Amino acid sequence: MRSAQLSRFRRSLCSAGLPFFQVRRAVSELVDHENDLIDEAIAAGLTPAEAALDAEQRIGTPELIASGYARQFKTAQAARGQLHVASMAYVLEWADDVCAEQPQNIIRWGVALATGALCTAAFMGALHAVLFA
Amino acid sequence: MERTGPLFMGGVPELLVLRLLSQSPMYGYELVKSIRLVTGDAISIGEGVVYPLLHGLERSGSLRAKRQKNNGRTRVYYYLTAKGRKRLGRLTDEWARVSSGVNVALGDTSHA
Repeated sequence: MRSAQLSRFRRSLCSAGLPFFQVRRAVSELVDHENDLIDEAIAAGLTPAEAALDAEQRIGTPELIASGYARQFKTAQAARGQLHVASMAYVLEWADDVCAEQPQNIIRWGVALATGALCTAAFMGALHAVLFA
Repeated sequence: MERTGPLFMGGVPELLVLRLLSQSPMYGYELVKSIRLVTGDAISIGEGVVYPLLHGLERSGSLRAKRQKNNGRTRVYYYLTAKGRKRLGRLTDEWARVSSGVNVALGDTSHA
């Protein structure tokens, strides 16, 4: 895969929202895969140039491969989102039960939830700054 | 040979990947080749399916990835975990159930 195509592949993965370490690994695995295909084609009697072209055609366009990653990533994200919603629903239900018995706890729960959300946001912001600085 | 299968192929790549990795650890290229080989060229799973699937299975804990040297090149080998082995068992049972049901239905239709 020529460097222009690799750049397109990398760009497609990044725009799909994949984390940088996953993008790096996907690119290196694809390069290895293509090298194996080239070796196989040369062993079958093709010239290096023909083998490179054959490997490129077998792998497909960078966008096609990236779309598989994007689909898989979206599915994983959606599953994680459902899990978050389910756990939040559970926490709220639990809080509701507790508050029904002791109404003064509503404020305490509100403060705890807001603090948790702020801490998570601050942590994610710091992580993003470190990784993408 | 078609690169993309019909809709009922959903789940088959995962089953094949887990089955092959239960026999020995492999890297992506080896897996793509092995799938073609063990299915007698009936099923060819492209790179755009295999690698995202491997990464997803690793994330879910069914596989473990490890960088290893092989013939002077560093490869990412995928190993089946205990969780993956359980998943393979479940998928194999499911496949047996579905395929026998479909075979019965097709058999019935041909006699109608």
